[in-house]
Amino acid sequence: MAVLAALITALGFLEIIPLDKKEYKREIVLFIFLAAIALSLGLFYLKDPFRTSIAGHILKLIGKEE
Amino acid sequence: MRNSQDKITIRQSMFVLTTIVFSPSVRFFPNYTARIAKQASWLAPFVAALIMLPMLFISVSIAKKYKDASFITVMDDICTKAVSRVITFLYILWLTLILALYVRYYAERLLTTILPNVDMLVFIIPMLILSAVVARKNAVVLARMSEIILPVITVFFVLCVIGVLPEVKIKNLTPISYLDALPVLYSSLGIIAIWSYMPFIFHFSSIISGKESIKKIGLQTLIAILFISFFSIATAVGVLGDSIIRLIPIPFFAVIKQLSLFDSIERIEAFIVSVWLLSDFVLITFFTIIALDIMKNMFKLTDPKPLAGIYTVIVFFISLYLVRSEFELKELSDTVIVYLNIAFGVIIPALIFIVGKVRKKL
Repeated sequence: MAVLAALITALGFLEIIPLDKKEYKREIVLFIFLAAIALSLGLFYLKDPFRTSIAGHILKLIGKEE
Repeated sequence: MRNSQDKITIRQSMFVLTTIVFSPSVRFFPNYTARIAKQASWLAPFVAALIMLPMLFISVSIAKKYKDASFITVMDDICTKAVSRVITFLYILWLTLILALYVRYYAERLLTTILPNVDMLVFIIPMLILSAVVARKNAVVLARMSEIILPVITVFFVLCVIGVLPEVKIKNLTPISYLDALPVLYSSLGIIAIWSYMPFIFHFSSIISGKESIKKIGLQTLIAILFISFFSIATAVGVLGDSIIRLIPIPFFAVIKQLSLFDSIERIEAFIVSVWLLSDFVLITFFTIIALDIMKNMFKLTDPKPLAGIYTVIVFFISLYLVRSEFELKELSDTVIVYLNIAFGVIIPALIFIVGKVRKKL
């Protein structure tokens, strides 16, 4: 989990610094939002990689899987 | 017609599309159509082509009025801005879902065919890094790559088809009667689901220029993908029969495995896996570029390319969390993704067109 957080932070620094120099505020805000989603998804997955999958939930919802 | 900076021509976009369609065609079509239409499954691409023709004319009509504008601009004009933004957001979600699905399909295919017992991360991570790197450049790079990749795919596909043609048994493809009409129509949905990337790519990319020539080039593309789809189904079902094809996860691969040239060159299935990889790479990268392009138009960004890296990280985790087994992957594809593709690729653009006609905007 620490590796994931470090990777996303590193990617953030790599991308946000040039964006900041160009004053692309919208891109920075969207980048931070996407980074938060990526981090949440990563932590959620790594916490329990064997939990019921998205497909499992969808198929259960439409009655295709027990 | 060509804007060499960061736009691709309509001809190049259709090259990309044909490359993209190759991978799902040979993986998905034979199995899906054989399960529903049995020995008549080879007729399904023709029915799909008939259904897709009106979509082509819808695209022509929109291109005439709005030239090279993106579909978001078209929707802003035809519907209200709020409705347009909601639909666009749904498109981003759908695109992310199918991207994750194709990343998973790419990994599962390698595991099933030539490299079992390998951690799938070994396949997924390099592919996504490569896609992010190319997506950070521009679509022109990928379009020019497709101009090289597509002829390679076509030559290899034609050689494979010629090689297996002597093995095709007519009794596996007949008899055909009026009773097959409904199953063929139903099975064509699976084909339309993949072909629907054509109107989607056309409408949703502001990276494509010269959209007014969609009629001629669109028809040529439709014929090309009809050719690929027909032969991938007809050879698979013709050689092994529908009862076997419906049980095999990658039927075309099984057929090619039986191919032997002059009893001396065998195991050429490794080549088809390489060709598949190229097709998957183009598919994953181009859909990433389109997703970034949609974000650019939706959030009024100046440059969406720096988002490529973080977006592929999201796709990476969704692809891991999407399914747990190949069974789930196939079931999700057959029962959900097919209909979602049709909804987003065909029904929504058609509805926008109808609303545009009613409101006299088109």
